[in-house]
Amino acid sequence: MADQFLNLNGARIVAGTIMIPLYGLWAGDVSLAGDQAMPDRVTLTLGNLTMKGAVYRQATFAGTRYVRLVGGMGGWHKTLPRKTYVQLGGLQLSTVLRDAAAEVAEQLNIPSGVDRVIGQRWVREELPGARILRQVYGMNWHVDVAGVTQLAPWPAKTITSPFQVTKQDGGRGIIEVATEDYASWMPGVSFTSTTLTGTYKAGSVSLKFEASGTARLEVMTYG
Amino acid sequence: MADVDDRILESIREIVREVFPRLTFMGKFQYTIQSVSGTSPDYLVDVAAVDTTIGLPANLSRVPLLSVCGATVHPTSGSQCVVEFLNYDPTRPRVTSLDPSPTSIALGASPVPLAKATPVSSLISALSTFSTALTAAAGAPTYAVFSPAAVAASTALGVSLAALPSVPTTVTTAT
Repeated sequence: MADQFLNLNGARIVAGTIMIPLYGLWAGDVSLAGDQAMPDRVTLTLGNLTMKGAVYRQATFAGTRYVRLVGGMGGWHKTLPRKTYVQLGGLQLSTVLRDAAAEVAEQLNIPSGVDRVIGQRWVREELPGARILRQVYGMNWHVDVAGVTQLAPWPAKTITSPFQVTKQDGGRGIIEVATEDYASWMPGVSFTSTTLTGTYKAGSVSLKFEASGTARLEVMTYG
Repeated sequence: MADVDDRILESIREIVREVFPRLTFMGKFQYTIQSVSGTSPDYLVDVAAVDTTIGLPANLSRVPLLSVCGATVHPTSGSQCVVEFLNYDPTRPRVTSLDPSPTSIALGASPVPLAKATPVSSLISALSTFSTALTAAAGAPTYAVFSPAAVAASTALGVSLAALPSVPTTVTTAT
């Protein structure tokens, strides 16, 4: 049952942390029961939450496999070669970013209204793909739980499923919640509770798994 | 790029890059002009990097030349040039200088008026009128005593004025 609730490609997760930031890639470290090697592309399951990511690095020690995960296909950290674009009729943002995504084998979604002419030329320096995204588009992108890079902020939803606030550190701006609905707790959501004063917005979300079998969800609030 | 593979150093680099995402484009880069296309003043040049380790593409194509105060240079293949990025923007490369200096510089699409041209022309014209009047006066009986000296002075002035080049009022091209 534990394997069903919290696992990586079916292998039970003993402990670990997954950080889902407001901008950019989610990433984390987990340790697994057993030493079976993980494939390049993996799926992390936590209750009703499924996250598709890639293995950045892994190794086995004393019968436990330690794995570092990143969201998406694991391509955005790869360095892209230098390149130059010239389109005197107007060079589209989508042209340069789709090229970059294809070169690092990432899936990219550019919502309607985001694409625009960035100029007539663009000089791409030798940089990791994520830096290219940052340079051309800005900060407001993220990799969703399906592993798709979205040129958009996380959806601004409101938490409607039951949860309990188990701890609030007002100084650090961190709220710890207990919930069965992990899938809803993504960056950008708003929430309130009878034990909280006012409404809070989730910036980054951390999922922490402990060897004792507990899973904690910590929200760094903002706004 | 990174010539030392160190994870902590790499993290620092990431932080710097986050603060200055266009850091590279703050520099000046030496390229060599490979070919020139377009017509004055809208020349475009294809250039090749002198140092291919700078992190930018070894070749940039159809780069515009930055116009300085309306002047337009006529680039030539083989010249070295400096490429910069306006506002550190990778979409706006410009050639900002040439080495050696261009063989010609157009100082604008229309003639450029030269300072002091009009007053200098007026002065020369006035001197010419004076010389003519002096010659005429020297022939009058009243001034017979002064006639030889007046004629000599007038002739000398006329010769000097005639030797002057015509006063330019505009410049369109300097070579």
